[in-house]
Amino acid sequence: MGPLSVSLDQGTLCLALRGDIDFVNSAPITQAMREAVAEGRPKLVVVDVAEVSFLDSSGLGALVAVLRAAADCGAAFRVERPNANVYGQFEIAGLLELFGLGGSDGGGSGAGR
Amino acid sequence: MTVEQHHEYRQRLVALEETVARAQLDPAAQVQRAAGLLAGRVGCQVDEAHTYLLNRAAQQGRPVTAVAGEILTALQGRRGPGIRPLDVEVDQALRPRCEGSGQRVSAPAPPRAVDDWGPLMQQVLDAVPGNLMVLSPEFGDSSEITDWVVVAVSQETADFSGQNVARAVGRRITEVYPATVDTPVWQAWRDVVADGRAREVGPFSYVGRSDRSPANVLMSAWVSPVGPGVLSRWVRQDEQTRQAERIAQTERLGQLGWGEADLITGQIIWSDELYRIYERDPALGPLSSEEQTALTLPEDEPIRRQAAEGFGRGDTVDVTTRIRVGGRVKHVRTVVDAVRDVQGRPVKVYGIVQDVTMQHTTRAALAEAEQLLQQHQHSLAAEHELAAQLRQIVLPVPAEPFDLPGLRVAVRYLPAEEASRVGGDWFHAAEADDGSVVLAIGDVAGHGMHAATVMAQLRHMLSGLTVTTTTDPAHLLWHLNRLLYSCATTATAAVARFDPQNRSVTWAQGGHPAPLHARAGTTTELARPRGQLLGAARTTNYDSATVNLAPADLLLFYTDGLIEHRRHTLAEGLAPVIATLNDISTSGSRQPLADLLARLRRANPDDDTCILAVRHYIAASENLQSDQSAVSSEGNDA
Repeated sequence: MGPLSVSLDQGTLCLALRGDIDFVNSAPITQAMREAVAEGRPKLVVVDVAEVSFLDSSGLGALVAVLRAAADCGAAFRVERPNANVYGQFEIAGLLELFGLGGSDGGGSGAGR
Repeated sequence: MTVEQHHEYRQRLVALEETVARAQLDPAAQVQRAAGLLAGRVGCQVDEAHTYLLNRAAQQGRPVTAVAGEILTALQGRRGPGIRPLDVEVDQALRPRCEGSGQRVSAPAPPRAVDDWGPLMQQVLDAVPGNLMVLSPEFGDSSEITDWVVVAVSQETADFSGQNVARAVGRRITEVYPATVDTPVWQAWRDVVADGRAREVGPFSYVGRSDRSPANVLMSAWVSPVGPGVLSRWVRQDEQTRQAERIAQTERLGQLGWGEADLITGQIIWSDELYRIYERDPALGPLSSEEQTALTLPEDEPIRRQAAEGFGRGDTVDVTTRIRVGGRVKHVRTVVDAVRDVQGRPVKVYGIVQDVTMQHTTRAALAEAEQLLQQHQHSLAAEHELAAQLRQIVLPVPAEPFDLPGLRVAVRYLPAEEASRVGGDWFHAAEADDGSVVLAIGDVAGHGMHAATVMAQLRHMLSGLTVTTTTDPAHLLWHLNRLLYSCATTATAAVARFDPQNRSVTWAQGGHPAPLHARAGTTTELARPRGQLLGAARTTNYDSATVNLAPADLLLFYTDGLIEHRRHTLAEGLAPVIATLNDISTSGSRQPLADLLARLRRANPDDDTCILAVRHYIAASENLQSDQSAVSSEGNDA
């Protein structure tokens, strides 16, 4: 199974990622996710990261690229089901709010690390 | 052997001899021979062997013919019986055999009593493989054969019940093998005694009577007259079939065919797989040796020729050559050995031929892939070199700690181990126009030229902004975010402004790990003000926080290559760094920054790492009213 599965159901595009998303594979994954958004014209883009074990800065960049692609076609965007480590990375990057995961982004989290 | 066959065989040998002689005269052919021989031995192509010879000659400063001569001597060391012409040897080899067989034909077999020939036959059977039995007939009153006495039986033979049959010697067949009575083989024994002609029977069904015998087996038997009785050889048909199937399967799996050629009768036999390899209809029969030779690619002809000559000298041949079959080129490995006469001349040739095209194709594909990979690595290496040069131009890393107002600064950049992964880590440490010191560290997502280029833009923009616009970290990040968003790239950064007047550090971050603050053996991670990854949204606001520095306090800014968190939590990755800082901040070292950089190791070899460490010191003019010990130690840190 590849690192990305795509499904489109009633205007919701679900992009399920798995494994490590990093400099090795982020470029083709980003490309594939962008295309899926452009072709699907969804109302909502959901990135399911339940199976993602690790994201490096390139992996975060890939998610931001999809966020921007979703914004370009007027779709809402959210990231779902990060594990504790990945959640921590989102928190450090200050992306919880942008990714629809709530929380007080990037603020006062130093002690929590 | 007929006279014609003998003559034909001699002619073939003479032709072979002439080829060898011709080849030995011509120096060019000598080199070619040596190359062919080497190629055949080593299993490489002839041109590779040829190149090797030329190189070797060049290295030794000798003519290539001399080197070739050596190789020939070395490889042909195992010569046959001297250098007499082949046909003479063959004559000598064959003559005694002809005479011998003549004698055997003319001399009638002396009649012997059973008692005499039994032990003799037993000796013979002991020496040959197979299931054999010698039987002597017993006659009834009306001169009819009523039973058979077992005269001798091959020792290794097991009877169908799995028992050794040696115990049968001297006993009657009706006692030991009652089941054979009136079977086709029983009849065959009688017939052979009656007319003295050998015959084959079967396959026939044999029903054993022993409890341990298989109920019903299929047998074939060969019966020949011997002395006053018969020699009977038998084979279990089902066993033979099984073995034949196994061999056929092995052949198919290994794409392995075999053939044999009788040089005396000229008869050639091929196995099924050999027909498949040569894509020939078995109904057409085997190819002649000349026809096979004609299929060899001209480039591989020297290999084949050398092998043929080596074979003439008594070597076993093992060569891989290419043949053109059905419009395709196949690589075939041929192993040839021979039954030779007493003079070492081949009488019968056995060959095993294996289609190794697949292996060769795979090897060629591998070589191609390897070449592509090499090219790819070249281009990666080129990009790496460019990116590294760009880094060096944009961001020269000072080798030694340097001083800014109130701060001693040390920087280390550790590139990723993998050449292609020069990253976008960067730092900034400079005094601004307003007398403050601006410190920054950042990490552009991705690697290679793109990351290096964005890193350069970021750094130049930051330098420009501190002069023209602001030294406020939150404002600086706001601008950097705009720049990154416009070039669709993300990055993290932490920016700090140190005010030497009140010793305060104001800082902000965009998705970046907080700096570590060490004071007298205690290290804390600064609480992070709110701040988003740079380039994630068009506009976003950054908060800032402030911390006051005491003399000798250490601040460590880093990029996340320093802490491996792929398989660990961030806290786990940070623990050794914090321990090092605790240690350094109490060590009393005269060069704490140098010690710190020397001891910090990048945890993640995949990522590049940038470390920016600062230590607060009080300027000399303020010495009188500050911590004397801190000043003296800082003064030596370089």
